[in-house]
Amino acid sequence: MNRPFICMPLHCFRTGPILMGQRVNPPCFLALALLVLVPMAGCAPSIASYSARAYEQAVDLKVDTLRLIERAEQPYETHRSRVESLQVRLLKAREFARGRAHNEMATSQWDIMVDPDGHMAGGFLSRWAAEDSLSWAFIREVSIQIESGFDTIIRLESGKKQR
Amino acid sequence: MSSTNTANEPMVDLMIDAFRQQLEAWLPSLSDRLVPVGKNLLKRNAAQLQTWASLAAAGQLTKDEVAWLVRSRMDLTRLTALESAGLAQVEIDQFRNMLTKATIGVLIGRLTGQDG
Repeated sequence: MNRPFICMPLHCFRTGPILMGQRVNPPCFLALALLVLVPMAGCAPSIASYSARAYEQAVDLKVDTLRLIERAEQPYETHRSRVESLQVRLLKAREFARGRAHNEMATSQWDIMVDPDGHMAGGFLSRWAAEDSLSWAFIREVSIQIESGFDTIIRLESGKKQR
Repeated sequence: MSSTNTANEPMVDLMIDAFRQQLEAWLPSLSDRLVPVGKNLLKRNAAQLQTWASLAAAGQLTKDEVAWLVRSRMDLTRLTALESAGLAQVEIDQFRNMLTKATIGVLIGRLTGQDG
């Protein structure tokens, strides 16, 4: 009896376990065990686990986006290559989120963040390109919104760490 | 905070009235249920809306920029809702794992005849 995890279930299936002071017949016990354990064990997690890479990506993009946005008072052409490079990195972050199983919430967040027709980072960069330069008051107010938007993505990823 | 809210109330009330009128014209059957939702959303964003209204009045923001910022605020609300939903899923998973472990523990205890 040095291997209780093998011997004990075999013994139970052969003789039936004692439940509530009475020996249960083996087929009933087997059905009960299957009914309880199979659905539980079969349930995949409903949300992806924490990813250090996704977390770092979101933090880096937040800092870089906010730094670039501060320059939107200047002509777009001056910063075109940096904007385009940032847009590619934002799209890569979205694709990374999309490629992870059970990661629909974070993917939807990135969809909103990068949408060029939306009103977060992607939308702001499109507007800068369309208008060439933007007013300081507008930049400041948008920065607050975009910063809070990135924070929601970062908090969701770090919240997965508890698991 | 309460004085800021009081100062914002006339503007928020005007917005709620406009929202209610639009709903009654477009979605009369849902108006009763959607007006409180819209009211809640507007009240939560009242301070921000007031700031933008003041900046627009001072000529620092154009009407188009204010409209863009309001849409941006709505996007932020969606992001926050997704964050809350995701964190709720994390908690549900934790609860399910805990329940599975407890059930297996009880079952094994019964199998071995070692209750408690």
